Amino acid sequence: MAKGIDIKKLCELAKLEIPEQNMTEISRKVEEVLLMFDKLDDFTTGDSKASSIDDLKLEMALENLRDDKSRLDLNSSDGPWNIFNA
Amino acid sequence: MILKRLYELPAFVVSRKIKEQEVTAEEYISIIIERIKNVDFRINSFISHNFENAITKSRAIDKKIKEGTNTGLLAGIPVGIKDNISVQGLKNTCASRMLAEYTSPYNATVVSKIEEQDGIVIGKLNMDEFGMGTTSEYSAFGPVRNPWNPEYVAGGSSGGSAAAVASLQIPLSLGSDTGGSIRCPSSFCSVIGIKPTYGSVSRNGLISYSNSLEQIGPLARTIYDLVPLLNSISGFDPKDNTTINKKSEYQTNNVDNILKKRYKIGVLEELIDNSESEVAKNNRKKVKELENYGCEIEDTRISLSHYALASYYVIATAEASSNLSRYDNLRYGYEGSPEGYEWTSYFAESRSRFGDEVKLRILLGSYVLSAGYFGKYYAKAQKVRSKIKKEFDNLFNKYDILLLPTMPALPPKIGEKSSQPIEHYNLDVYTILANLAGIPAISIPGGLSEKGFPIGVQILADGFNEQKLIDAAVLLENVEGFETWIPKI
Repeated sequence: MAKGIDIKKLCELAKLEIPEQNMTEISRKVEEVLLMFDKLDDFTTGDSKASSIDDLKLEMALENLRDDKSRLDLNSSDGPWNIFNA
Repeated sequence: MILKRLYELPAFVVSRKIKEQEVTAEEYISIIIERIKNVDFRINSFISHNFENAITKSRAIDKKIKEGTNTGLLAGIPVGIKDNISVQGLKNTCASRMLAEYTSPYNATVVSKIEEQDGIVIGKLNMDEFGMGTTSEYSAFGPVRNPWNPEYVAGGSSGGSAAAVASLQIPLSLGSDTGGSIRCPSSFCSVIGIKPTYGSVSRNGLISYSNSLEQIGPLARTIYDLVPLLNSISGFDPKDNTTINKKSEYQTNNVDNILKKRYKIGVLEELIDNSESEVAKNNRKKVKELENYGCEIEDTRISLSHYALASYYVIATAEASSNLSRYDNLRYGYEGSPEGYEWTSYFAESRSRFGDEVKLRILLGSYVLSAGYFGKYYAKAQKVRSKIKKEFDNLFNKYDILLLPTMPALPPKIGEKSSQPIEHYNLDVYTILANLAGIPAISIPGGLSEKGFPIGVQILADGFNEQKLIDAAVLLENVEGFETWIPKI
């Protein structure tokens, strides 16, 4: 869900510094866009597989985009990447 | 024609004059440079110039012609290059403070191909930072202004590429298109711009924003100028493993030959209907023009278009966060010492030079790629993409081309949408479809609104069927001669 994101922890994950005075504005924008992304929840997948765009030759497997670090679980409560307040 | 007004002529006409020694390449380039100096302070379409080199190159071309040596398709023609495409020895800023001092040590393949055809790189063009935007407001060098009304946006992200061509500063330019970045400014500025099929033009030397979506493509005032540039840059490149060895020689066929092909056109009427009224009215006029030619017209629809925007932005931001992770001020960045910093804080501090929109997209991409949300957002977005591709495959079994508006609305005022991300992203809703499916798409000038703002019509074709788009452009240009629509600046 888009609500309740700890934007400071998300900045840490993304290795970005956002000035304190811009935090409210950037949080608003992130939440607004994530709500739009949530529209994908209504999409029923059927038998469609991600691999069916294989006719596009891609440089990098789509699953391996984060080449800078291993993928982290934002839901985990014991790591530094728990970006939720709750 | 008075020599001084040579900039008004299409490039293919001037190139012929240069080859026939009616005018020299040096004279033409000098006139173009004068024009840029007189006009661009009102438009802000250039970030940097290449005037001295351009003059030197033009002299070399004149020498070749005098000696009777063969010259290329673009002999003596100045081409502007979007500032995310590498030109050796020129700054390659991507309109970002992060790369403000970066000079490219090599040419992008497309630039080398232009030079092989005796085209002349005249300068680097303004854009949204790293290509992230639809208005060209998100540039560290200030917004690009629309030549039809400088209080309004030029479109983006290749705003400089379209505005410079529309304002008769240059006849040809290159842009890049990740979600409509060539077609949107083409529509807003009344020029013609094409996003080629994914894999048909090398992206070697393009500073990547979203690798699986973006393509380099040409912009021009007339289809007769656009085709030689497209022919120059297309084809396999061993330096880009996503290019396909399927070189086509595109033609500007005459109307009679095009009509013999009896094109069947699917009209995405629902999307026309959802557009602003003047856009809808204008696009229906274009449908009528094609019908008058005897083309078979049928209404159709693409059912998944309402998921497309979310799917596109999930994929684009995910790939952006991956691509931009390299800007850590060690591998790429600006002059600055890490002395006295802890590693993570140095990395984060150095990335503070990104603009706000880029930071927003990096945050969003980091979020959707994280393990807990990968399946919810990213994997699902890929499935939507795959379904959209299949839907297009089915449509192109039935139709040769599809017609829809390029943009759902007229250009907004500068600053009007820049703080509202969803309103801003919604402008992309008709252009992202071609990027998700990897198919070619063209924006063709359709006319002007009552208040004098350009409106574009968009045509889509199946992969590697750019010729059908060119044929459609020839038909529409033949009706109205849109290369003569010129803004008063």
